[in-house]
Amino acid sequence: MRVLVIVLILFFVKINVEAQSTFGLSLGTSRTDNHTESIWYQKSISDKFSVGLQFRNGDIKYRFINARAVQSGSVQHAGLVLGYKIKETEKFRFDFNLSGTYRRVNSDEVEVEGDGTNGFEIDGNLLLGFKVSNNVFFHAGTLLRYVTQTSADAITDEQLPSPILTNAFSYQANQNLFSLKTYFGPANGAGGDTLKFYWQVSVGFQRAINSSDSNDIPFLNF
Amino acid sequence: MKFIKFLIPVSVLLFIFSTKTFAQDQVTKSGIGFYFNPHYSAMFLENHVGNAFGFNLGISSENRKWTAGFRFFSRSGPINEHQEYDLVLTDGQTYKGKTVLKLGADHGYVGLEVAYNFRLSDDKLLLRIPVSFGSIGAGFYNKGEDRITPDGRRVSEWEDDLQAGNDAGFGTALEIGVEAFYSPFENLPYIAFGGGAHYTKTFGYESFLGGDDYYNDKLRITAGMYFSF
Repeated sequence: MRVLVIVLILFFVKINVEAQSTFGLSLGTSRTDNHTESIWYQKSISDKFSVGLQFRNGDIKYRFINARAVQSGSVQHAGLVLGYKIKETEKFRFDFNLSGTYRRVNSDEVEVEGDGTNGFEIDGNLLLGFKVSNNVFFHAGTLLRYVTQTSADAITDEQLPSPILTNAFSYQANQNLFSLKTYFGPANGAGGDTLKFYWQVSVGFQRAINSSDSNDIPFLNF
Repeated sequence: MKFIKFLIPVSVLLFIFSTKTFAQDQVTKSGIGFYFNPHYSAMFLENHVGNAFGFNLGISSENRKWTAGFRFFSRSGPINEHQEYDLVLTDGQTYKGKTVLKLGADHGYVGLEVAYNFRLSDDKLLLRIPVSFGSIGAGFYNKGEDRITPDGRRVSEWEDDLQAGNDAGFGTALEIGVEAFYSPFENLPYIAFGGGAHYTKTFGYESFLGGDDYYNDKLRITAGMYFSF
């Protein structure tokens, strides 16, 4: 796992050091985790497309192993984020971001081979960004999250896409962006055995590198 | 049925009015547009109000008169904590020593929607008449400590056993409504606030506790933001 992460980082640093890119980190709390941290790096590969890496860590509050609730342990995510800018004007920006991450859940509350589970999380984010003033932005959108557990038990529908709403207020100073982000909405999966409602509140910081225009509405990683 | 009887003449009047309004409008937008409407909704169910969150999302025609897209909303149990349903176990059945369980309920709807749209008051007020047809799934589930099963089986297996194999049901649903959104910002005409009222009819849904009429013939009101360009 660590080797994979290092190789991916080196690959992304190498592919294009001149292109616009964004580095960010966030800290938050959610229905599933007492605290959750993320770090990410996103690089433009054309005017419309960007690609990035994302890593997340969480301290479990309420998650699932083999579709049975656990209330302690840890969770790690590592994966790719693909960004597609559907439309952009001076006043607003409309993005579709797709992230696919490998997920590892560790908890000793439910006995499983290997002391944890493996799985994947695919997040489709539709996100509208609006310029409220020169430095303040408002983002609104929806998160369509699909979660699958591949082992120990294979549970292909741990979480099915549901209307989870996302909102954020951001303040930009030079190339730095500070944001407050929220998610909330119903959830379902595994025949009703897993999460029924999801919320998350987080604060984030991101810095644009090689950005040509600081007045652009920024790419926001959810 | 009273609501739909009221809705039909109102819709006809709005349609006639909108045709007149559009004759006077200068359509300045061009190309296919987009709309997104995240919202809270309240469905007036038997003896209580069911809280839900959802969104409508899709594209609009070049003249912005027609929109087509998806409608997705879900009534989640944890935001309806105070609404409990008694499941009385019979034939000597017990669960963790209990013969009466307090259950929660949830449901989800996903469907296609088509809406006729028109604007008033210098483009600041948007009126919509949406029609949606889709699929509804809804069930009743164990709450709190009752989600931890006595034998390690998955809780959904127990829920199924305790409710005669019919703890949840699926069906199709039809919604028709009226919505109004007001755009207050001069410099952000893409953002509007408002809501609507919808009549919901279900076909083929049935569950042990809900019967076949639990979500049928109901009024649902919504409030939220409306983004469009």
